[in-house]
Amino acid sequence: MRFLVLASRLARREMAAQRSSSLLVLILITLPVLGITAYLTADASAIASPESRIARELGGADVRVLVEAPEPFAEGVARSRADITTEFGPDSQVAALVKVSATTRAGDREVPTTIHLHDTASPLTEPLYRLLSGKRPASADEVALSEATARRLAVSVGDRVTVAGVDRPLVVSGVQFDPRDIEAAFAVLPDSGELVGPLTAEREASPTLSWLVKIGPQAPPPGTIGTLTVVNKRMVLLESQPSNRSLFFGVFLGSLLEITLIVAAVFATTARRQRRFYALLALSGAGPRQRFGIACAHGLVIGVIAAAIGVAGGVLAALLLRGTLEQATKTRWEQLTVPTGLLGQVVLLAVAATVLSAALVSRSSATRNPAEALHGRESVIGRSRRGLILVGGGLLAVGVTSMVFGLLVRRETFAPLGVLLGVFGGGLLLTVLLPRLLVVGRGMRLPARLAIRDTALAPSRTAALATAIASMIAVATTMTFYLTGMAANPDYKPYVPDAPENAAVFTTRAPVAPDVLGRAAEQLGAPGAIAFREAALSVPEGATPSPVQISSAALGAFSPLTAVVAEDEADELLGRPLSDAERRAFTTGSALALNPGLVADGSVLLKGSLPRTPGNASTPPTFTEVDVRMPALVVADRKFRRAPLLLVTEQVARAHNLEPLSQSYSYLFRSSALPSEAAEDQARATLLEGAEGRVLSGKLLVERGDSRPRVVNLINRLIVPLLVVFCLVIIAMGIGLSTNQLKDDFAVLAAVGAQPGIVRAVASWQAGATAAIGVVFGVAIGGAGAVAMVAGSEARWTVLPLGLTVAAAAAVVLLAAALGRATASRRLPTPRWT
Amino acid sequence: MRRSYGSGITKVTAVEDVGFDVHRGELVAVMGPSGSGKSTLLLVVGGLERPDAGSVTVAGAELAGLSEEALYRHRRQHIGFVFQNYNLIRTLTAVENVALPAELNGMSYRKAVSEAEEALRAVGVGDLAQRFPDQMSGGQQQRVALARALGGGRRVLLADEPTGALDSHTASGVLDVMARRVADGAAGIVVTHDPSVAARAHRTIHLRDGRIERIGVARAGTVR
Repeated sequence: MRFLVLASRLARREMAAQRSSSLLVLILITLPVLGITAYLTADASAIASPESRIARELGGADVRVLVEAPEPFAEGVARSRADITTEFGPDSQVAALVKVSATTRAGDREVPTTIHLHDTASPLTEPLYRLLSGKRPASADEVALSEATARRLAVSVGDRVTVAGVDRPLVVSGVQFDPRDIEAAFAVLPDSGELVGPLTAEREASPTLSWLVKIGPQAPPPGTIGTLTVVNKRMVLLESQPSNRSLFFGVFLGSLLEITLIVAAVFATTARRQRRFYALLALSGAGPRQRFGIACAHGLVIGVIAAAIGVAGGVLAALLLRGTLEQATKTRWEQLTVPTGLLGQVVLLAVAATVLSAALVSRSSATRNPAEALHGRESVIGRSRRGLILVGGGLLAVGVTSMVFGLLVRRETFAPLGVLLGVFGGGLLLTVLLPRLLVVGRGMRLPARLAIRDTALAPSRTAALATAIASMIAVATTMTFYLTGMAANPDYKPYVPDAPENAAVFTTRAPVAPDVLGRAAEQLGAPGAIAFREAALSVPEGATPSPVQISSAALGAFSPLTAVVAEDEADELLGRPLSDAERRAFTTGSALALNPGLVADGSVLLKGSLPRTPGNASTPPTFTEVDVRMPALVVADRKFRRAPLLLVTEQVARAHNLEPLSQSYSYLFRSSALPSEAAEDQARATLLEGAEGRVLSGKLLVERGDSRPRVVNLINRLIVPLLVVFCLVIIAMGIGLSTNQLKDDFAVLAAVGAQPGIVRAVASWQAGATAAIGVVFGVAIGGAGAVAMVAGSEARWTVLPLGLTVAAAAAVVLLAAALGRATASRRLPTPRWT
Repeated sequence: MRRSYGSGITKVTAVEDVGFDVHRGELVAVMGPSGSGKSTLLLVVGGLERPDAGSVTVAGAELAGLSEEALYRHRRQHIGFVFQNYNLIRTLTAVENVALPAELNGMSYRKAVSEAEEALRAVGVGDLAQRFPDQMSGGQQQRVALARALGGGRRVLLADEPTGALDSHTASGVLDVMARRVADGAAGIVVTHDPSVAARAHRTIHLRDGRIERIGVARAGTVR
């Protein structure tokens, strides 16, 4: 304990003595801690408490029961109420929740709105929404609007609105909000029974029915609820897990790793001073372990201060930005929740990173023979670094092996790990290799020679800086190579649209009249509508069929358009006759895949969830996931590139436990050119008006190209330049500090008559040399990682932007040199005589 | 000449009313307590600081009349410095340190190095040409510093405690080298606390509070 007090006192004094570098370390550690604290606090505050979530979902009830929408709906509600009462006993309290879609209007403004019809006077429904102003609607001519609806209609309490399907104007009695989505456009109407019919008769209404039930004391025992889907409190909690936290934590860890390197470089700029400091401590009797402890304490003190400032600043930032964050996330916080446990982990990580940075650099200074440092004989020349070679070489070897392994087993996930290990292993090896640069540079111009020799004689600083740069360049290179390479690759999977390019799909529960389809096709610029049926997993009688999904390690799951078609319909869907090979495969049991990316090892792996096993009041329903592997033939036609459409015959579908969706009629419109959004809306209106049955999918999935170019552009134009800017900032910072450490040398140059410009020339060469090492190293590792990823993703070919890379690398080095020059002093210091 | 720092109540006059000549073949020792203005005197004579009043003429050039550019050039060509802590550039080898002023003068690397090797041999460390400063002892580094200061035909040597960090044997060797170069026609000013160093000078200027307190003449036979 006494030693800790001493160590921290010495560390604090050193911080004060090394003000600029200490401040830099403080800032570097504080910023990510502040960012993650603000995020975690905002995230924790945005997540409603379990009690609140239960209140929003279940109101004042014990359970919510989801039932199939009855047909006809209005009459079915009464039947359903009787069923519920039978199931839960006559002493249970029951409230119906009807949800329909309708347009709400005020003056010339209109908003598509979700209408909630329920008994607004019931204590079961009261906690569902929160009032901002006014009161809950009580009579048949009152309505409560969500704040988003009220804003978009420009109305407030007391104004009048109309709702499609309701034949009288309604007075706005109150404005409510749902804390989970403050932008939700909804309206709450008191359910007197008379509105259900007119509202649900609308074609687009898609009504749903559920029941809030407060179970009475005489309720039947669990397990006897039959086929009802019951949402109980536990399930509400299960379904409301926080989402992106791990992603942000990952970003935080990544940035902390990066910052560890930069902070190590900052510590390394004072290595000479540190060596003398530890030598003096040794003279005072401090043993190697004690000196190392003091080195760690240095990091600890800065880390603790930085983490404390970061956490306090982060909480404050979350508080100050509360309004903006609520608006951005479309939620409303019930209170400011500071996630102390998580923030504790953040603090620990930040402090650990700082201690590690200090220990990495100070380890050798603190533990070596003090006589060397005091006599100025502290050269790195000839020093044995076998440990570093072993660790660095080992990490690099594991990284390369990981990439090669990923390439061999065709798994792209191994490459990023390989890049990470490669960068850090290579960084450690750099500290061994850099001193060898001492032998180069003879005969070079003086500033270049001075810069290169300094780079070589300060290997820890240069290696840490170069590795920090390399890691960012490696990430940028991997992303650029991977995305640019894949963008030109027809097998590219990550941005697969849900339907063929320029295709629109319309699905109803009844056939659509040919003249309606013809009008819609004309509006979309399509030659006609191609009818087909989608496949679903077979389910027991009465249950809802479950749509199939494609499983992909890279993508997670998505639903491809899986069409069950006859042979001649396949011709129509393809827009050309099947080739002999395709026809043979199709009729003998294979699926036809219009996107090569869907097929691995000659087959498609479909995943689907079998219907939920009914639960009861205490047990949530369960899901059973099944895999269906079916042989497939890739239809090699550039016209369908990226279209995830799968064509299967009815026999093939049944053989793999698939069946056409019952009562489902799908129509595909494929236009040669992209229709305008107005044309799309027009066609949609035509179809909605003309469709006889209930519309299952009224959305026209006209794929407007796909998002790849935008994503590639975003990464290439925004993220990569950002990483490059960070690199340059790191370089400027590191070079600024190191030229500061070269003050003595510059003073000597002043004494021998060098012109002041030499400082800037040396800084320029130093920045350029460090950047060049980092860039070459980063491009090599990042490029290897990208190649491994692209090859591992089973892509057929790759386009690597080598020319662009060379140009960008050269630009980074030149910019770094220019930055080094610009930030260096214009004056030579006056020599200190002793 | 006079040289002050700061202004108002913080104004400190480091050197005031100081005037003397140093001729070729003459070594002048400057002695005095800490804060007496010795180092400022060297800075001004070396052209690294400009005097507030008065003039400084070195190797025939009035320093105040030189532009910055001309001042650098003049320093490169005529003035050599030696420091107590050697002040060799640690990233350059011994020979490159010595070749530095010539290189800055525009001489080719090869020629500058060749001349520097000669200078190193002259001070007795020719075999250490390719060593970095960290690989040499204090005495060896100081000899390299002397070779750098007096290489390239420079005739003015300004030394600040050149033997302060050396043992007496090594110090004696360094002083021998200095004495030889002065005897060859250089003019030298050496700041020192060490009477044995001052004893080897032709004259000793004693400074106190920035003013010359007295000038002592060493016994005949100096510089030895």
